[in-house]
Amino acid sequence: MIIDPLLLRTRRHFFKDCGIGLGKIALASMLAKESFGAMGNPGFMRFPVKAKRVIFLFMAGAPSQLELFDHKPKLKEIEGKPIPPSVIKGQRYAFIQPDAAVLGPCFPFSKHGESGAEISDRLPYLSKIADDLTFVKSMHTDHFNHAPAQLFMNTGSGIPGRASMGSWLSYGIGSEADDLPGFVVLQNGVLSGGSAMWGSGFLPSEHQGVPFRKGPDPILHVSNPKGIDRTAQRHTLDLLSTLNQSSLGQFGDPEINARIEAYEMAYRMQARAPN
Amino acid sequence: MSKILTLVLTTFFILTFPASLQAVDFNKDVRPLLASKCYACHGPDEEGRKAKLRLDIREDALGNEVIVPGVVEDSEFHYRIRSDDPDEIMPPPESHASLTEAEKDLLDQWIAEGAEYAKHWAFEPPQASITLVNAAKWGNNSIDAFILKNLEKNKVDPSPQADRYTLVRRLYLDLTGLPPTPEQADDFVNDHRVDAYEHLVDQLLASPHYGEKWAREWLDLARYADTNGYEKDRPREIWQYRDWVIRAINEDMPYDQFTIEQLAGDMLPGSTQDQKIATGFHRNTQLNEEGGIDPLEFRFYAAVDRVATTGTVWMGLTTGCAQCHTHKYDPITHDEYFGIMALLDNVEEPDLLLYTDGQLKRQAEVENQIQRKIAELMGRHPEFDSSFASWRKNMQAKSTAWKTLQPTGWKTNLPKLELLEDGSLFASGDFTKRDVYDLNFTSPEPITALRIEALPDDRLPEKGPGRAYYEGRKGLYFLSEVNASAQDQPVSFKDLSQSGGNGVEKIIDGDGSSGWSGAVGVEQHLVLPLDQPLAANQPFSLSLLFERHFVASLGKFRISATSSTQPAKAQRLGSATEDLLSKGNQLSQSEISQLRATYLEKAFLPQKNNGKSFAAGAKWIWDNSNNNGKETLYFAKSISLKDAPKSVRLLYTCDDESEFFINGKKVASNKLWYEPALANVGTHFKKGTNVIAVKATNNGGPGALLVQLEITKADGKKHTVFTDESWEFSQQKPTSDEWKNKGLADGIKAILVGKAGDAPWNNIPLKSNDLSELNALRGQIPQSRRSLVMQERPADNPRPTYLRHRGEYTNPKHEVAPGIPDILLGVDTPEPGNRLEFARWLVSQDNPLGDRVTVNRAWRSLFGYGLIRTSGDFGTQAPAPDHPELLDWLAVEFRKLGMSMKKLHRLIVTSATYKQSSVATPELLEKDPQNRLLARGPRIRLTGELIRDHMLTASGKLSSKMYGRGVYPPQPKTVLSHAFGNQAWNVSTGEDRYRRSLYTFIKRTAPFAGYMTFDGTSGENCLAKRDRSNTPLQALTLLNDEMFIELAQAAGELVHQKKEDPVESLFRRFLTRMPKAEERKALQGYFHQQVERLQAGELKAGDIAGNPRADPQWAGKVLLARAIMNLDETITKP
Repeated sequence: MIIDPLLLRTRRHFFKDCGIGLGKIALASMLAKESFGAMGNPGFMRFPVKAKRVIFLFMAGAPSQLELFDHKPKLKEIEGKPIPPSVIKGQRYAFIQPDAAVLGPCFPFSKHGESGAEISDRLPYLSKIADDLTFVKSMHTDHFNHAPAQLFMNTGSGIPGRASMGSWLSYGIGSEADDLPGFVVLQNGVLSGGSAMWGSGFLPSEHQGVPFRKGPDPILHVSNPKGIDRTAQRHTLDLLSTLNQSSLGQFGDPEINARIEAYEMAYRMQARAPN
Repeated sequence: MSKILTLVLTTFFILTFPASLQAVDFNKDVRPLLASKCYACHGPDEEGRKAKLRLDIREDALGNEVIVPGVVEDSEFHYRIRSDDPDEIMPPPESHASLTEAEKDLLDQWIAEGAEYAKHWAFEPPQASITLVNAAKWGNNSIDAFILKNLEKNKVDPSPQADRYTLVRRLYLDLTGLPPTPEQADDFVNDHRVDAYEHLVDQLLASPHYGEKWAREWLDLARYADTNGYEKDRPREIWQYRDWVIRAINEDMPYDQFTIEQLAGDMLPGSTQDQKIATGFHRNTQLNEEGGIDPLEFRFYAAVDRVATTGTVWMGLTTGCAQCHTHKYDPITHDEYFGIMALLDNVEEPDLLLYTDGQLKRQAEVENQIQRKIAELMGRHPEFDSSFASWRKNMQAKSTAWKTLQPTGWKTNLPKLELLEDGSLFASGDFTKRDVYDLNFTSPEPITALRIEALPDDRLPEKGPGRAYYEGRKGLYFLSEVNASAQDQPVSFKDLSQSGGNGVEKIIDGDGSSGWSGAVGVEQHLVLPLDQPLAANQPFSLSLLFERHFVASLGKFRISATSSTQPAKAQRLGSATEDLLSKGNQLSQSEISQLRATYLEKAFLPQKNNGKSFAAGAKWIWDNSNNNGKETLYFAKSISLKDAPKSVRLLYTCDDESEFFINGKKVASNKLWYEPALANVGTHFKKGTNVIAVKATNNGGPGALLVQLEITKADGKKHTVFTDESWEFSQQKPTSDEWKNKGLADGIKAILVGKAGDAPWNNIPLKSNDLSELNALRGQIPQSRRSLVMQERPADNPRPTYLRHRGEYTNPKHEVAPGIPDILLGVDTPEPGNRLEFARWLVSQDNPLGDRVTVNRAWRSLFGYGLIRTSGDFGTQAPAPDHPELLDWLAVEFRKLGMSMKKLHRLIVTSATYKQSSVATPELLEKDPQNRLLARGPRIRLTGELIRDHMLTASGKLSSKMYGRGVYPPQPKTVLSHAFGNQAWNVSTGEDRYRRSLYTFIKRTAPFAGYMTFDGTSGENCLAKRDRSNTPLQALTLLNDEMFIELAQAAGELVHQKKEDPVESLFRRFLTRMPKAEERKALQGYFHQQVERLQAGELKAGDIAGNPRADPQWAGKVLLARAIMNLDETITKP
């Protein structure tokens, strides 16, 4: 019997085991924030929350919606013909040659479920649960280049620097879960929009997405440096706690308390992070 | 009934809220309410306005008895805010902007008192009020009088002055951004002069580190970065602007001048190079270089950013709302927003070429040497003169006499063409991806052929000739089509030729996507013989089309014609040479010299060879012996050397082109197989294993690589390494650059293609060294540096600014004239009409906001919070300032101080308010948790950059080197791995690894992780205030980040080598003060505990100290340093 250890690492495992430490990033960033912040208590339950979690899959480079959910029969009609001038308006676009022609849908669509959602035959399983899905087809954009379009999708603006969807959620409704970070980014491959896609823009920077990275450290610096074992790390944290406590006693600055908490959380995160 | 109720309620209100025993203050109490609850529908924005009612203007609000001053019960307003009817109540339920009972009472009271309006406080000029407190009681200067007055009102005592160690640390960190060394701290503590503190202030204000500290804050506002942003995010050169900021701040340039030079330095009379560099402020906007973008659209976004940034920095207003519609709350109309844009947007955006005086001197020297070398080389070859004479005679016969044609008229789609004295045309202004130049000519002589010269010019990107400034190579051009016509009939061409570049035949193929493109920085030309000659005096037109997926129009070009009947061809030696040849023998002495030099360098010497070639042992290698396809191979070979060599001579070539690396460093490249590269590369070799790596590309036909490395060893013995079967290659592009350093992980043995001398390459004779002597000199001509700058457009080519409906670029409406919002316009002062006037207005007393914003920002930097807490916003929505009188007094005082930032900082840091202890007693925490009264000193976490600077200083590693290109401190590779283009973060070595953090290269799409974790900025937006979060990720960074570990190791080693008491020495290096007894005890306990574990072998000293020689004591000190670096107090201004 072959047991691939990777197969055992299910999503549940990730959330359950790996998440405990990581999850507290969010809580920490909400509770251990600068207590004096002019924003009051940003993020925490600003509105009544119904959603338990939001999973947003942004699949740059995936098959086009035109082949999956968004049936465009008109394209079939004009397939093979030149691009209508109204579309390109005499502009030069990269990679569109003068002899470019229209491509219609490559796969057949049919209606599914009571809603009659049109789904392509490339999604035989998903189409069986058509009535459990919501398709939003009202979104459109003028941006046709990668970076602005990706930024627009994630931040509502084609220009880098606005608050991303995840940071809005973190800011607006926060997260009461203590086993998941408020806003994490799992990235595979290169994205044109760069880190601005999970930036916090003009929102407090604690709401920016925490990227989980490939390689040995899914979170930057979650591993101890060479030569330092967990005991040494514990000793160090004990010392820090003692001295920071003494500082707290002297200055009365609640930030010090938050710092102590943050270090303890970091330590637990180190124990729990997948490696 | 309702009247009585109102009265009762009002009375109740007054009794309950002692604050409103005073009359209602419109600015403080009423406007914020109206602005947040009512203006969205009843404010300045016409489009959003409901029921044609405005409540932001008194006359409008009084109309129709909406508000009847003094008579609450006659005011419709009163009934509406208290109605039970969901259809009548205001604000309407769906707005979720309901009023509390207390707020309703307040509004009623305001009406009862006469419903007086007042201009928003920030739009009135600041007035310095006089404070009436006994200054002798507490305080050093007027700041303290304001603070004390407020403290007394609130029955709170100021805190005692902080102890001297705290003061010296606070002052060093605030003014220079670096901690004092223990010695510097002791100097101050032991300085018993009465004015020791003031002396220290002056000393620190004079430190060059002062400019570095405050420049970083300014760069947040300037959204400075070293890359262009967006997908490509390629590097840009604008660090000269960063350096300008540092210098200006260190020189204490008055703030008005500082402002004017950055916004409009180019427009100052006789503007200097520095003043032009200063205009980089608004060139810090992002540049989208992705394929096919509309350059003018992204130019518009940059203009939007400029308006927003200007608003934040000098007006304290978030103007951004008015981009899309008239501001809902602040009196800025949609038109006025674009008026500000018009003030800022009449600009060209060139790269300024910069030469230092030293470079200019060197340039002249090298030019002289070149002239001497040319003379020497001519002398070296006795046959040169006769060879030149026969060449000239021969060429004169072949050359064509060209006459420059000056157009009689022209028009373009958008760019502006200007006729220069030499008959060439210079294009400026805005360019698109499809530009058309239509030119009209009449020649007094018949025409048999036309010549189009593409000419370089210093004003063009990379000297042109093209206008490409993004995506494609800068200075590139792409001539898609040339169409000529006379008498409405097309004129056709035949036998086209080009002096260089590719694609001349495609300029008449009717396809805009193909065309002619040539080299950057040099003259190249086309010759277009006419099918049928044009008669003399026959008007004709020439249409040049430039169509590419980026801007690629010609920036400078010249049209010439000939009536010669012999066939005209483009001249490889350049149009200037042909023009000289065609003049026959009527040349001046200098023209003859020029011709001789050209012949020598371009024709005579290249034919010479030195009779040598590759040695017999060299072998051609490739991935198979009969390759015919286009492919790129990655070759590597390890060479082991017992000692560093004395010298190494590299001779190599590749069919077709290649790059050559030694130990990761690129040392040579070649593009033509018959022109082998020759280089002395000895310095790149080291003792031990060396890796040779070649990226080799075959473009078709046979491909092969041939290398010969002549190594002269330290002992003088020679040894030659050739390409042979022992070399390895990979067909796959290695995933990282490591192969250049470490060799290929899974290389395949190379296949032998032939020996040196074999067909098809045969013997490759090496060029005469004469030519390389000349080329070597040319290589010594200093290259200019660049900086992005602004340049006002010429008066005859202004850029119109249009109102964009809903702020959308694609939705232009009417043209808008430059101007500032009416609310800010003084009665007697003229409205600014251009960028320079606007800059002057921003720092004049006519701008009621400017000085307030500036002093508030300085206050925030020093106290952690501004006197008005929203640093970027002084608009009507902003909360009232905590200390309005102090804010105004400081604003007025700042001007009296000549707008000197140093004097302003001095004024603030010498106040008793600033010098208070930052201890928050339980009583103070209870009464004033946010320290709004300022009854205690600031205690603020440092920014990410300053934390690193702090660690660098305390560990003794800080480099004092200032200025220059961005550098690359260590950070994990994964930070950049998600960024586009697989760019490497090549960690700086030597001193550059330890430079102050403001010199760290800022990559917008993957900003330096260590700073971002501490709320740093990516330079995407103007940032008026840094957040100060407190997260576990920060703990992980400080504990485990390589860049900090390295500094802990340095600090540990330092105290170990100096044999200092580790606890006290390290503690003081990082925390300035002496450790207290219990702290000392805890630290010592930790130290001994770690040393014991090290001695017991539980921990490895070498690993921890990063040095195999380290013993347990040494490594224990490293651990101790690391622990101290992680204390809250270490990263906090006390």
